[in-house]
Amino acid sequence: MAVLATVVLAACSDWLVEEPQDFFPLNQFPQTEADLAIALGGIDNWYSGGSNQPYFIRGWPILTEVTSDQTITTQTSGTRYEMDSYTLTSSTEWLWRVWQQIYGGIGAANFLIQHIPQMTEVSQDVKNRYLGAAKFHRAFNYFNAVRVWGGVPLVMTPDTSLAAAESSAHNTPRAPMPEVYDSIVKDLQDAATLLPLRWPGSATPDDGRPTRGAAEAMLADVYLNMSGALVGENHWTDAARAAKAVIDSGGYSLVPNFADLWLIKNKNGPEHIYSIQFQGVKRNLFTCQSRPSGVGTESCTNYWFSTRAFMNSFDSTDARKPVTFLTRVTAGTVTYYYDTTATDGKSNPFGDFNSRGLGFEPYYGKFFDAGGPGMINQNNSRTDLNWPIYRYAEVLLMYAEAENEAVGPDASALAAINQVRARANLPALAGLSQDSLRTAIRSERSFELAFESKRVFDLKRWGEFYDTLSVDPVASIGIQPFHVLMPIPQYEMDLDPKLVQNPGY
Amino acid sequence: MSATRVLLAGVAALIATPRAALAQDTTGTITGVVRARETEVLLYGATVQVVKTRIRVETDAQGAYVLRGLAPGPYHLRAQFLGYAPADTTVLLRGPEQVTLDFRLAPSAIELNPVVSIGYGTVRKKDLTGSASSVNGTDLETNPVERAEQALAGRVPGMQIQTTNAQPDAELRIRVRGGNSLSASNAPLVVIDGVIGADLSLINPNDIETFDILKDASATAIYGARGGNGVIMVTTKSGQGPIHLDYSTYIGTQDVTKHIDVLNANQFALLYMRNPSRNKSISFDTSSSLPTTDWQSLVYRAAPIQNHELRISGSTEDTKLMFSANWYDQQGVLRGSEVTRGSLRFNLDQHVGSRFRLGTRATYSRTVANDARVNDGYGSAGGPVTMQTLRFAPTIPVYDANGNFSGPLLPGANDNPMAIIDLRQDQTTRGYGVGTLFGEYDLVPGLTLRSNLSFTSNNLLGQQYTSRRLQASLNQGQANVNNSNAITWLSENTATLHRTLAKKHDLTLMGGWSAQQTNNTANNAQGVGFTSDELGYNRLNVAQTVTGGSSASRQRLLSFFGRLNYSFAGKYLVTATLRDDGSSKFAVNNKWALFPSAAVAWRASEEPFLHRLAPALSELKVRFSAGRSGSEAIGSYQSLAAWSIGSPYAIGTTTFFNGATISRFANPNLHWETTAQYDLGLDLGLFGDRVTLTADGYDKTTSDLLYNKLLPYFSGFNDYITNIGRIRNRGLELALDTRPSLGAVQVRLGGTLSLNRNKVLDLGGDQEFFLAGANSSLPNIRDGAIVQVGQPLGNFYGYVFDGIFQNQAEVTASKQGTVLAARVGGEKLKDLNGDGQVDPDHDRTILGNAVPRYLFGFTGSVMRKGLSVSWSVRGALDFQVVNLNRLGMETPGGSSNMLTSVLNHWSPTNPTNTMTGIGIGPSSNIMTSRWVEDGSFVRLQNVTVQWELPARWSGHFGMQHLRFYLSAQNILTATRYSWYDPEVSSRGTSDLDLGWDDSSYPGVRTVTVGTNVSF
Repeated sequence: MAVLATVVLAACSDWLVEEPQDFFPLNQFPQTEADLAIALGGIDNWYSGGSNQPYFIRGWPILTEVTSDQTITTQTSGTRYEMDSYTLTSSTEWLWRVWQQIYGGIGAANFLIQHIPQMTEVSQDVKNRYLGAAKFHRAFNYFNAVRVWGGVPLVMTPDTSLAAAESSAHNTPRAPMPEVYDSIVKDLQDAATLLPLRWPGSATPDDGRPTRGAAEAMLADVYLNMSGALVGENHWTDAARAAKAVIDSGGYSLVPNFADLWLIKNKNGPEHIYSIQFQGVKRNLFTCQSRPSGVGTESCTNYWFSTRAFMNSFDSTDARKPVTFLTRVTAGTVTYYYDTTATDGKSNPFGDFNSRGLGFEPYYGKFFDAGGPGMINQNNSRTDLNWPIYRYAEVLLMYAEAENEAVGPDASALAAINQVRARANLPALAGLSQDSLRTAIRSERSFELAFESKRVFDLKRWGEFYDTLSVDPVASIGIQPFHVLMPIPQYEMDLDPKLVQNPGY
Repeated sequence: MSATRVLLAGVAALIATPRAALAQDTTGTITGVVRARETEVLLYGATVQVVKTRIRVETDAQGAYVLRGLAPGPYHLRAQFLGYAPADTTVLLRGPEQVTLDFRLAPSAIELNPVVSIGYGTVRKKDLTGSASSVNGTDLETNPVERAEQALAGRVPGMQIQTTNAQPDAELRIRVRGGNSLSASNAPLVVIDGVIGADLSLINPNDIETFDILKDASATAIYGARGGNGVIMVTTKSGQGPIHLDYSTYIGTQDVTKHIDVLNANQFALLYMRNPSRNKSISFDTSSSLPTTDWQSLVYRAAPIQNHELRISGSTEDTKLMFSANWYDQQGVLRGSEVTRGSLRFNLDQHVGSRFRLGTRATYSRTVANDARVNDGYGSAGGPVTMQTLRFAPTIPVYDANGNFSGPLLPGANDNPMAIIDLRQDQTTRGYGVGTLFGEYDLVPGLTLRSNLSFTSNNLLGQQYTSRRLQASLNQGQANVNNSNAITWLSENTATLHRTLAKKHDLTLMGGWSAQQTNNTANNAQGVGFTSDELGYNRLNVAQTVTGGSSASRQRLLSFFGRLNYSFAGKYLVTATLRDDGSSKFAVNNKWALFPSAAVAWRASEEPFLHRLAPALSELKVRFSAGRSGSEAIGSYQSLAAWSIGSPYAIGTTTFFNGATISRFANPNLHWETTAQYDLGLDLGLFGDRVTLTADGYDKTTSDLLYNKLLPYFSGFNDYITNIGRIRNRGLELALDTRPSLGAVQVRLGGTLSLNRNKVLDLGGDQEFFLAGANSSLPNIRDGAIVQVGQPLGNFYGYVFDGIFQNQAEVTASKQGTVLAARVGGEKLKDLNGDGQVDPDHDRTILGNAVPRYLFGFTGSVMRKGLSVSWSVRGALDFQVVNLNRLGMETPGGSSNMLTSVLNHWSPTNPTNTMTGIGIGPSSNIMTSRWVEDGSFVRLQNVTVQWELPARWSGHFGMQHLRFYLSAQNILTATRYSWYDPEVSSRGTSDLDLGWDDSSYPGVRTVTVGTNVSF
């Protein structure tokens, strides 16, 4: 009788066992190369997905570009205003939204980094590629985090069990900034070894998947930041070597016409080393948010724009100036201007911010591909333009900067910056001192990389953050020296008592 | 008449029962009236039955009954009526004659005992030990409601029934004794004719014979893991009396209850032109008189509602049969919204021999709903039509010079409401079929075996198309088609033993087992980028980009249960229940849980020492119960770690849709929520049960709440589902029913009162969490609601609105800048802790609560001869609603239309503290007390006047009875709430996101006329 009862009960319990029907359990996935491809795609989704377009769709520019001296928000309250005016708090939306995506990507990368070496059905070659890609993504996300917040929790293994999550999640301190940087360097060195220059079957060096070039470009950037004011180490030689590796790879070149670089049809061109991909249903909003309203069918949400002061600091012959700034928009038969009435005789200047005491201000031109395949009003206010992470021009400027600091204003440094200047129609530099070349490189970076979320981090590593932003008309409302590091999101602070807030907040 | 005969003949053939009583020339008729002996009052609804057969009829409003089609022979008739002693008499029918036989009933304390369905059996109400409320379906017949539960509002103590909005096909929020749970569903379990987890919204309300609402643990524990939120037991009608045909219909009209006062064209234009930060490409000549477009009168309409129903039912000695067909159509007051339902039902009970019975309950319904976009967001989505109706500029005509829908004032702004109505389709079609086959076998006298097999198919097809001309998909067009199927089978098997020992010990023992499986499948497709609007969702592969997906899941439940009912001398009652449930949803080691309960009751009125008080004291019963029931209302597979597939990503210019993300880790400890409940109740009957009072007090605590515990984002996860925390609900319920004896006038008056007090006791170590608001609605208010330990669910949380900044000095002195920039004419926030600074940590407070502290209802009817008037009043007191509609409509000089309250805008010469200055809007992302309004209301819910023709008239036309009625719903509401209806929940039915009014559908008043004829 007891035996029978046992058998019946066992059968009953078996009948209740769940068999997943439309998802994979963690221990059964990924198994094949195709599995790895979609797992890598899942990491990409942390950049271009998530609720409320948190990361590169628009969150990253709000967190890192609106906060710079080259961009001003139209808003007089709300989160964009809080960012721009440095009246932000640890609860400000974009802090936690970006943080959440960053660590989502890290979590997924951690799992793959642990899982791939144990896979049996794929070749070593395939394993290397995907392991390299996962390490690249982990490094990239930590690099973004460490530049925004300083030291952060350094999670290097996946918390995929209840016990691990419960014990570590509420009990993890922030790692010191140098420790975070060291782990980034290690991951990128591994990635540079494991990754190919171009993925098999890919028509272009950059198709959104990390490559050796992307890992080395980022490594150069990481070394520059480690050598900057916030970390204070000396890695100029390392930075120059990493940048040189990209240049010597021969895989990249400058697009001759700067304007062509920003057309949607030319994305993933010879100059692009690594870009966040937007295509089809994956469309960005950063283009819309930086467009004027009131310009007919090319109107969008008008959340931020640039400044006349920045525009006027460009050399008048600089080929980048008319591409970087939007001063007129033609939609249908009407041409609208940023500082004067449109050709219809009635539409006001779209850059008129007199009511905010600013006057006429130009908008972003780089991200404005009017009438292109992503015409704003045909695509639900979104476009297919990629978000550039690394372009070859930046690698040249990073090389020049690192070489100038490590060795001095040698010919190779001058050659690198002059390559960028030549494309912009500017005369070559020659015979500069180390200091003057440093100054030249800094302004060249600001012109070349405007609105690409480089400026704020440059100011931080050059030690110019507070001095520059304290004279910015909007940032000066609230800026303090401590704002060089953003506050850890309050949400995280509340859940993990081991976290210590940055000073000042 | 001949048509009727054909139908009847068809039915007779269908059931193949030679004994079906057909009107034939050789049969006779017995007719008469039933009266009260002393008062001579004609009794309406008394039963006249041929004893030992299934032939029974009810008396009409004139107290008259007719038994037709009786073969010659002797008949033993019995008349019964609640509160009266039954009367028997015999009569001999010699042939095709009509015999008149009247009854006079003596009042009695012995009631005709109604029975209550308690799950796997019934019990006489007087023997009930648990807390259960019953409502007779016929009480609700004249209420023109889409779904049956709507008519129950205010009639059942302890049950809250709230419409989330008045759109046809809108969700209902139903709670029995408050909300138990944070993450899991708090909706009560619905059991229709034994089918567990059935859907009340998809069946014909008039098929329902009775509702029995099980509330305490003693009553709900028999449904174990699913009983924790209370159980609504529904029994559908079965055939009764000679076979007859009923036709019922009502038609009516519905109107919006309230017109919102918005600016006319001149007022709008004037304020706009005075706004310095307006878009200057738009200008108005404010010196001329501008024509106003009254969008509300265009969008809202008097909408028809109609219902038709045909019912054939009857019984013979061995067969009970009921067949009904119903068609319901309700157009919405908002143009374009509509719900239509057709349903069929076939109920059969058949004796086969003396010991075996079998039967079936089968129904199929098809519901088609066309939804208007309400309760929804703005931005690129184009705006909900309800808000666009109010906000679209009054200066713009419906059509432009080319005959197209006019565009908005500013390019790219939200759409013309008439365009949204015309150019957006959102249709949901549901097919719902339930078939049950059951058999009962009396193994030995007193021991009955029953087996029940049911099969349910629930299919939903959603089809949406948004035109290329709407902002939501401008120049693109978007179509979505989604299809989901749930197939459930349920097998239940019980044995019931009934024994009476030594005439005093009455014992019923029931035991059984049950297995249930549901397979869910779903698929969806989306097309974006249409070249034209013509084919819409019917051909979405015309679109440039077509994406799709599918999903599947399975749930299983296996249960063993038993119940003992014991009664000693009809005075001392004991019930004990046990259910052991196993669910596939929980972790491997926690699949099984035991839910015990017990109840005792003492019918003091049966004690000899109280007999001398009879019949004044006809019933006195004290009940006490304790026990546990549970909730497993979470999704499948939640205990398993998972990769979810389906995130889009791009490689170069190719988009992929199968990105894999780790969505959850395993929780091997996941298990049931358990609700432990104590109930103390009193049933009082006075004057032969002409007055009955039921009072219950309860205390229930739900523990091991299924809860999404937050993780820091650096873990790579947002949260995980686990069992933590406790919530308590305590309450009191009162129900009073009186039938005063007033001569020829029959009066019935009743009332209910419910108080529930909810408190979060524990959140597993957390002290509080905020609720972001599920919808991406424009007022994108964050953290507007809070759940805190020691507080009830439903609290609103935010800053206190403290008037308007009157001058620069006040602005300069203010320290609210980090929260909301201070400006002259702008909103001022209160510095609650007086530290000179307004900050999120110290200056936010609880602003109100969405759950009414008092719910009540009064019902009544007065009947004299064939004329009756009935009414119901219900209300809810002491709760708040956040009126987010105002947030979008209180910017003086804004580019969309505003409420007339902005005419009183702040200015240096009008130092008001209620409205901001021109061009200054409210902050759209912080929660303030400015939007919190008192929601208390008292509503005249229903008045029905009914007239039944005397049987002697309707009889001339071959009718058993003919009734007409006029009924009005939602007639009058007394409330201080400023928007349509305080009974609103724009964010759905969750207990955590209650009380938000955001672009809700307007309140609706309905007037119908109906008729009911029986042949």
